[in-house]
Amino acid sequence: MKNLIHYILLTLTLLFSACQSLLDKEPQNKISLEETFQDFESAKVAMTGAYLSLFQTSYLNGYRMLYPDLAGGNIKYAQTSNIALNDAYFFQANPDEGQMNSTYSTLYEILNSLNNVITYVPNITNGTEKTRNRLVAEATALRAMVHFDLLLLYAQPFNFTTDASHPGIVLNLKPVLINESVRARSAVAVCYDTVIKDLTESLALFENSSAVFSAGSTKNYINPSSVKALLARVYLNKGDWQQAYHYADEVIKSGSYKLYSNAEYVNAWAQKNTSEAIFEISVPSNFSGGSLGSYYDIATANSSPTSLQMAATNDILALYSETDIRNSSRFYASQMIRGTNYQFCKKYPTGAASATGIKVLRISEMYLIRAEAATELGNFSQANLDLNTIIQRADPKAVAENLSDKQTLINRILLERRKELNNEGFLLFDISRRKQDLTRNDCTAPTCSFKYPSNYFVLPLPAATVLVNPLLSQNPGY
Amino acid sequence: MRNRAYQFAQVLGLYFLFIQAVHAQQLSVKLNKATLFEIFTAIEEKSSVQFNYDSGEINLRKRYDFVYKGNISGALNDLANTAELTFRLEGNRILVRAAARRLVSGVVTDKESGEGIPGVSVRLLNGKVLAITDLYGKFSGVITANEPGRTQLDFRMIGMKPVLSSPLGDRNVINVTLEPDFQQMDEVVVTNAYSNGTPREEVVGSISQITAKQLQVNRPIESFDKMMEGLAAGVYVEPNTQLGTPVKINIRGQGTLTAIGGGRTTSTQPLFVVDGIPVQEQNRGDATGIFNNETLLNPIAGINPQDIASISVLKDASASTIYGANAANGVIIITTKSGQAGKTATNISYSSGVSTFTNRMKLLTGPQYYELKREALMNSGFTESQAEAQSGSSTKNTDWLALTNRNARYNNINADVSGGKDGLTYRFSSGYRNQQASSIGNNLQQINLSLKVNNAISKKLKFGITLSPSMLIKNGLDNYSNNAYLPPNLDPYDSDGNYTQFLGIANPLAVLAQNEDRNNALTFTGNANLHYAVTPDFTISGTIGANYLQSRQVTYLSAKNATGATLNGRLRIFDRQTLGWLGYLQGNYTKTFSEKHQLNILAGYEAQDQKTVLLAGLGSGFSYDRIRELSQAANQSTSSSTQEDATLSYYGQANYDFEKKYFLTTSLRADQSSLFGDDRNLALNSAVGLGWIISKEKFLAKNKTLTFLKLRSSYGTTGNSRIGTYASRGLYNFSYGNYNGEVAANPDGTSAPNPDLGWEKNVKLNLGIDATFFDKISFTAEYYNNLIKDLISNIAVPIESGFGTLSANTGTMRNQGMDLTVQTIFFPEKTLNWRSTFIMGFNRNKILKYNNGYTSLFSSTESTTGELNAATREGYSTSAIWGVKWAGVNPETGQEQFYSPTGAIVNRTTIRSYPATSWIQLGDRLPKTQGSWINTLNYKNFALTVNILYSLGASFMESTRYFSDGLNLQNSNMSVNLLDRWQKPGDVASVSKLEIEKGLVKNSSRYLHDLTNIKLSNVSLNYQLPKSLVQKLKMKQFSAYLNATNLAYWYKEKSPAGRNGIREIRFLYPETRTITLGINIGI
Repeated sequence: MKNLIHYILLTLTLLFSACQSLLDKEPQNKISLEETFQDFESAKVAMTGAYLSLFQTSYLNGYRMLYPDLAGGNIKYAQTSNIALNDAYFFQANPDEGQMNSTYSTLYEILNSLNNVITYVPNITNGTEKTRNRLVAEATALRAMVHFDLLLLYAQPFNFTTDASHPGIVLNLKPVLINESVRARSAVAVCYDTVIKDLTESLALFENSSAVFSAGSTKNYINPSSVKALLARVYLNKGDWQQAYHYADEVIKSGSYKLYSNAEYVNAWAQKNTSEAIFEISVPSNFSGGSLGSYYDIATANSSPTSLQMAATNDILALYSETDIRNSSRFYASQMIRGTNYQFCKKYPTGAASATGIKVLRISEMYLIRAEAATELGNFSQANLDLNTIIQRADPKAVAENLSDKQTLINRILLERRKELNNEGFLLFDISRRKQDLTRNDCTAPTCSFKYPSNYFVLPLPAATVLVNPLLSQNPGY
Repeated sequence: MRNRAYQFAQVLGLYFLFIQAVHAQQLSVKLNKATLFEIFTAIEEKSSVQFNYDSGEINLRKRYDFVYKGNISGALNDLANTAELTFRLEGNRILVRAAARRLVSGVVTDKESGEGIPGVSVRLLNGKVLAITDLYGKFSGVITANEPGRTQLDFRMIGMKPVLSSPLGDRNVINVTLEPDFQQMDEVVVTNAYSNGTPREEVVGSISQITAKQLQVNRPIESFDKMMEGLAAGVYVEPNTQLGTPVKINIRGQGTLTAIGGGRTTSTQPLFVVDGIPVQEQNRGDATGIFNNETLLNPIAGINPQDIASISVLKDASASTIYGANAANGVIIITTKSGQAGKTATNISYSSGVSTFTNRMKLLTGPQYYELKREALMNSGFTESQAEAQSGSSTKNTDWLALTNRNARYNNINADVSGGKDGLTYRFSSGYRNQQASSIGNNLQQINLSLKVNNAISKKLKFGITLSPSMLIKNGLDNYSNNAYLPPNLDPYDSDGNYTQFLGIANPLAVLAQNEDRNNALTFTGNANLHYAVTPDFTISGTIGANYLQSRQVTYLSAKNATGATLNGRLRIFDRQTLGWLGYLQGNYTKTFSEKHQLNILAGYEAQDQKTVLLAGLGSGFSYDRIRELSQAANQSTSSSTQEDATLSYYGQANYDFEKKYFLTTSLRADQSSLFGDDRNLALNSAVGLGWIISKEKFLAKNKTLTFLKLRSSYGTTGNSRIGTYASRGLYNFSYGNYNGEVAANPDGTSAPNPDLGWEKNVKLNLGIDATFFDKISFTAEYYNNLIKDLISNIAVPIESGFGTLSANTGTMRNQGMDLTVQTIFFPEKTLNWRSTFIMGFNRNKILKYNNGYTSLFSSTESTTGELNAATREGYSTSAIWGVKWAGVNPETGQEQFYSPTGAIVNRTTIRSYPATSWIQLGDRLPKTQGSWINTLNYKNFALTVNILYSLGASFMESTRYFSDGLNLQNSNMSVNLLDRWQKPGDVASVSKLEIEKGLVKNSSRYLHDLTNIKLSNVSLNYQLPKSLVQKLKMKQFSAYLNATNLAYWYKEKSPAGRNGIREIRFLYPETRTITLGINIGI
């Protein structure tokens, strides 16, 4: 009996030790945060992920680009059901289930991903200092871009109060753990400072860095020019004309980017990484879902009733002259839907698998920023020069402007911004930062016009976050 | 039970009779391996007695262990048993004689079938086993007794009423018949899959066992989890109306916090163990979101209810701790049927039925819908002409529900053959089921096979093998919610007879005709076990089991309708392969000491491993719609995912009882799992249980009213490890795709890092009382108090953190309640008898405290999906429904009104401005009391079974999507209740002014209903052909039955006339009533 027990114990002991190795299992498709940032190779994959995350329906592949133009009056619906963002179009977004709620959470998800890179990459032991700096530089610039987009969407413009002390957004500058997640909104002034600081720091890091990403085009990644272009955009919205002028000017003068010619203009939008693009989000190679192009692409018109929603309003179409390359007969595709003819802008001419990358920053915007900043700084000749560059590129037969009244000049620049940058996510923000009233004529919403200032020029914060974060104040009116 | 105890006492009395005079004398003897002579001398020295014997008859040199302390009569009694002697007292002298020996034999037969019963234990009244019947029911044994003529034999068999023979007299042949025991006190309860079962009266833990008969497998229900509804106290099966979807079971209340905002919490499901092998829950692949499109199958679908011998529900710690880290929500043990030795038995059953809708929701007709949509648009600021243009047709009227549904048919056929001899038993069964859902395009076909063989090679060595393959084909084109709620003023066909195309929504008829969603699954489970009795007391056994699942789902969205038009046809193929195996090796030691102390020790070691491999193929761009293969797709992509986990466990259980009167059980389990992460936390759980059969004590032994009484208690812990892999560490998901062709990884939205996350523990206390009155009415009541500490749940966190939810140890919760079962039989001896079981479960859930002030921060969000409004707050139930109080529609403005926290009547915007902390509890999602009343009436050859289920005190929150106040009116049809809307100032209406993009306050008491109901859930009438007739037909038995499910409801809340109320809106998918007709034949 005793012997038997010994044998059994021995067998069991052998068995146990053999089985212990069973427990050595690794998750297959996911790795932990710590392991992701243990080596440079994985950290690079995390940064690639951050770039990819910009390409989402709730962000640059959709709502971020659609909302300002829908609400501003450049777009109307060609369909009657299952339409995107109609709550925002009606200016009736509700905090519970506003369609733009997903944009809010997406942007904070991206911030989290970027903060991981910014926080953990400097501690990685492999890679070189220069490559590590590059990852952090790119992530920091993107963090500024995301914060800035949140500001545009969820906070009133910088000049809404004289000292920009009105509520901005919750700033995320490091990975947030649960016990630190209850935070208040910072004032708009503080938010702008933070965005600018990130961009400036990014520029400094670029100084001592070397390229990490080689796939695709350099335009698909943040580079010093795109940081400067972002700075120009941020300063313009802040009303810091000196700086806005400076950075727009630097980007233009770098000579790396070239305006499309009149002849190139229409086709360029169907091509990747063209001469105008400063920063362009690349479409994933096996992508098959709905893209920004699906809202405009007439090729899918008959087969898919959900696509082809975003038709140009008569308001915008009426702004173009007969000879403008951007007018309805050249730059818009026409499609009959339920007996009505609608025009669809060719900026995003193809949807789904064949979609073109999304041009987030392009050189035309820099010309218009420089023109506006120059006007404010009193340099009207430069302003007229830049304005005419854009006007005459599109319409060679247009008479050159030579405006000397500041307000007239500003208005003309804003008009050109609407004509040139339509469907690129600017119109509503241009209206509110310039303290203008919103007027939509070709409009099917219950209320088409709003006087400045309006609570509705900003979106509500999602109820889901306001309810669990006692420090968070909802935007008034919601 | 009373009889046995009483007679035992009587027999003891026989001995006491003739030693009355000296019985009071006390003595203490302790002798090891002493001769009989030494023992006698020792007794003589310590008392006044003297032994007289004939040394020729009695072997005085034979050695015995004799340890005794007490009075002399007890000492003699002990010695008589050990040394096979008889004693007679004459004055101070004790006459010693060798006990008489007599050979008795006989046959034990089944009263119902007339066949011999193997395995019946034949005992003497002192508890000594005389013999066990053989395969043919025969037994024989030698009785050694003082007066053999006065000996009585006690025949016992699990599940049969025990029989005590009259004194033998001159008889040497005793034949008895046994009949099934209704009270089932001797029923063997499967307490866990590691041991063989314990007689009911010896069970200390809280275990509800459902036998095959009680399960009523003839009902047209596709899986046994749904069948369990109402059959066990404290087990609440949440009703569900969709075919083949997983079923939610709460054992003694919800075991973890209600998930807020979806995502991860610990599993609230009990652990299913089939013949020792745990059933693995199917998981989503974590490779890409692609796998979220796969439809998961109910993991227990592969088990044919007809093969189930019993189901044990382990509820308290002492019963379930042996399953350790997976047992927090209770364990459900399924034992399948085995063959019985004897003649080959064949059973064939067939049933067929039809299901029809009941309590269907009334929806708007086409013209009504047009009218309301037009009104809503105009109320939202559109002009009359705009509104009319957007409202569609004012005359068309299509009943989409009628077009996409049918009277569903049900067919089920089963056949099994079983038998065995000379230690070998087998059972082979096969079943085929074809069940349609009312929704066209949905059906389930299943083939189950099972072979179980057990073989006793020798007295020492036994082995058994079970193999059960099953095949399942499921068609699941379920687009019910789209179909039924499609605007009714659309035509299904255009003037050419083609399917009409709608903007954005697919024509459901086109979908049914053109799309495909088919699931083929093959499951194969098998296990083999070997028992080796090293000594009669010590057995080593090993079991190895494996389950294999191969499933393939093919979904095709045709280019011909809106579902697949964008991509020109979309094909998705999901291939899932799971191979899991489990092995355990254990030792079992059973020993009785001094006939009074029984000890049973079980210790084992278990290893478990599971691997799931997923493969998905996706294709789009089909130029020809009918060949649905990836090769025909212009765009193809693939995806794969692998998940594996392993667990090593050590478990042990020790049971001790004294005189089958006092019981002690202790259990222990340690689990190591690859899921626990690098540090390999060892999850250690233990429990202790005590039992006391009071009715065996002298003071109750003769009580004729209270014939059985037992007290039980247990205390211990179980764990809940089912929270998913590496939950605490924050994960990067590498499957989001690529950027410029390079692999891209992003933080996984469902796995926010929380370094403080630890395991959840469930501390369970159980107090129980079992009582039987007049041997007829049995009564079991149990009180439980389960404390769940360090609850893991997903809590809503500020979105600014980058996550919507996060897993955290949020707090402590308590489930407290009572389970009550009363079983009785009226007129047992009469032709008409009535068996009745009444079950009642009470549960109170309370969140006791939150860690780190989570309660104020993360109470919850107002649910946007509308299914329930969960907020979890200290001092309240986790299933509480939170919200604001509705104050009716303002007759002047038509706007809804609410009571503010201060009691003022306010409008929608104002009520929204109050924080979630101001919400009040409106109700509770789970019932306060629920249970059943199951009745069987037998009259001659007829048996009528009536199942009545009841649920009291639960509340139900409407899903806002289709029912509430026109929220989604522009896109979908809605309840007829909308007709009662406010139209003009002065209207006193129940529905507020219709508007498009209306911001409803979804968590208002307006949408709350009282779910209290009583349901006539099943009625079954069975007719058994008389035996004489059956024998003429050369059969063993023949019966036919008629079964009806879901016959009637009584709801406390009445539905308004012509409108929908709780009765209609309770289930998104309407309930069906099924009538089936079936036969059972035994050959």
